[in-house]
Amino acid sequence: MLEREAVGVRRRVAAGLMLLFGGVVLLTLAVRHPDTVSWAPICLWREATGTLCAGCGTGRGMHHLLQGDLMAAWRLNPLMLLLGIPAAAIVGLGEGVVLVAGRRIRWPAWPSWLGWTLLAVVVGWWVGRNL
Amino acid sequence: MAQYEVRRGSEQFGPYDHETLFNYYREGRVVATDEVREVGAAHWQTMQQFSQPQGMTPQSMPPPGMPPQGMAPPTGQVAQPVHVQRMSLAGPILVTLFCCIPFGIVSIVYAAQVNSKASVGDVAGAEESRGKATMWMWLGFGLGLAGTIIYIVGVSASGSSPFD
Repeated sequence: MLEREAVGVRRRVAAGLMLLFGGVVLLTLAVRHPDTVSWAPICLWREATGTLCAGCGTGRGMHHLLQGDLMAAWRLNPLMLLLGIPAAAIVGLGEGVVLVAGRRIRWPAWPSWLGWTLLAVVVGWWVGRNL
Repeated sequence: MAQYEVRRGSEQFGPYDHETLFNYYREGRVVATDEVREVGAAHWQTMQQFSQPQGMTPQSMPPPGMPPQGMAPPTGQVAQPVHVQRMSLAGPILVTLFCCIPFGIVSIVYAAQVNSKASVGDVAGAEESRGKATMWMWLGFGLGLAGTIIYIVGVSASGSSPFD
């Protein structure tokens, strides 16, 4: 379940800081819509190219999701719901265990095709949503 | 403190102290049919014979002939099983969707390479890809975080978006 070797104190502190950062971001998104916040970070890719990146809409989408509006979140970025949230949950759980237990979770190995499939899905969505 | 040698077929392991030998037996790395003797002693006896008077019991009994996995002889005469640390896909995906797409995509590519290379036995290549995937992931996270902070500070100072 957990790796045998313990992580260092610095790694645990880093895990705590990352969780704190994630928590602050989620809390902010829960109460404010990004478009109503003048200092909300914008997507540099979209700013530079005028096209959407694969992650565009995640900020607004998370706001709607945290407000309970699943459909609005889906319309803004379905990939956030399908991939982004599971990935965030995995990272969050892993960092939480590092913080509390001082050891990493030993995840089951994923098959080789999964990485390439996810790459194709992300790139496909990135290109496809701009057509 | 007494040291013990372990023999399985033609292969010999150790020496280990009593506690290590006890732990290996309990974990199933050393099995009842293995032979053991104190260093310098003339005769071998089976682990079963050796352990019974001392109350040592194995936790599990692997089938006979199973290689002593993980048994790490100090002399290093037995090759260790190859272990490649797998790379998580969650971090690169997170950086891609919530942060900085170019860095995240590069990280996903390298992360995908890790398992592909490991599955064909290319350990060095897999380790190299894992290092690159990790580097690009943190680079993306770090630059995204720094960029966000600079942006927020810039907007707060000027009162409007620097990109308007």
